[in-house]
Amino acid sequence: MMNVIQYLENNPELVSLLKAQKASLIGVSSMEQKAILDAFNSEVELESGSWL
Amino acid sequence: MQELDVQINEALDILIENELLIGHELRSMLTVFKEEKKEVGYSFGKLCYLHYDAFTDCFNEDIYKVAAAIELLILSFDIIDDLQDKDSDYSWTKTPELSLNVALAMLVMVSRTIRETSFEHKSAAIQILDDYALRSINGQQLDLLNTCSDEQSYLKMIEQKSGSLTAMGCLIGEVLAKGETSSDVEEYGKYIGIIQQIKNDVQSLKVWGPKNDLLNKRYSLPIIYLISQENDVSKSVIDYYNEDIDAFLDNNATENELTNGGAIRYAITMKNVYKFKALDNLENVAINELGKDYLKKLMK
Repeated sequence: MMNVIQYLENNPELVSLLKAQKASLIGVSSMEQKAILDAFNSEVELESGSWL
Repeated sequence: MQELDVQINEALDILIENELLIGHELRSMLTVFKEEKKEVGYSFGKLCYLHYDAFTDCFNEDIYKVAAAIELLILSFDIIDDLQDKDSDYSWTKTPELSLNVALAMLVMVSRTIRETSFEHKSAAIQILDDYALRSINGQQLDLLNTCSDEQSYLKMIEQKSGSLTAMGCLIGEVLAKGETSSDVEEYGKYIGIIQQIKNDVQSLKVWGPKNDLLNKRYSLPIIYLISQENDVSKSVIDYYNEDIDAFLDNNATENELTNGGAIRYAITMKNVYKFKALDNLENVAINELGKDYLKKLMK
């Protein structure tokens, strides 16, 4: 999972394709893919307190 | 749900008051510690109650005593954990030697309380309590050793340390109602603990204070991710964790890497994976709406 997140962090265009269901992650289950996309949909900011 | 907290609190008061073998000194400390616990609510006791309530055909008021006993166990573990970690300012940290005795008294009172109830399946409940408490202690030992520095070993450790206790709450309620337990309840019970632990781990990184896992050279999912990245920040964190090297962390660069490098995103993803697994298990369990709503909140 760490490698997948790292790859997506470096290739944000792929996140957009995944959200638009125009791409899939090989070797990642549909549940894991949903978990990943939900994480990319949430704000990650130290100050805002909205990590989770 | 607030009403349930009140009932568990009342049951705790009665347990403490009726324990004749402890003197005023222990009883007053026990009461003070319990009052501090009251502020955060009785989640584990509520898990027990809700599972009992959902599955029983014949409601027994003794369930409040069992829920209170479970909360005593959790409080004793919290006290011991805080004394070991030395990172909290609860009143029990002010007098560690005396607090340790209070925790010991609580532990003895737990199984005794369940044994004195009128439940048909109380022996099975005590068996679950013993098994899962030991698993949690084993997880705590691994946590203190701070050797779980990869994803798999870390997840296994938090499953034991935290997952065991949430599963225990659910399973004791279920077994008292039905005389048996189900794998779905055990699974989601465990996942709830893992989810809450990952949330705590992320929370700990938000403030550069005494509870910050990174400053304390502790491992957690975001830190394991951070260390695995081959960049300047990961190298400085690895040096900082190496006791043989004098190294300092650049707070701004580390914060930036945590936020923008994927470490927090990775932890949130793992939490989401357990959320979806737990929700899958929950689908297979015929629990009432009250229980389901509460469980879903804990799975978020």
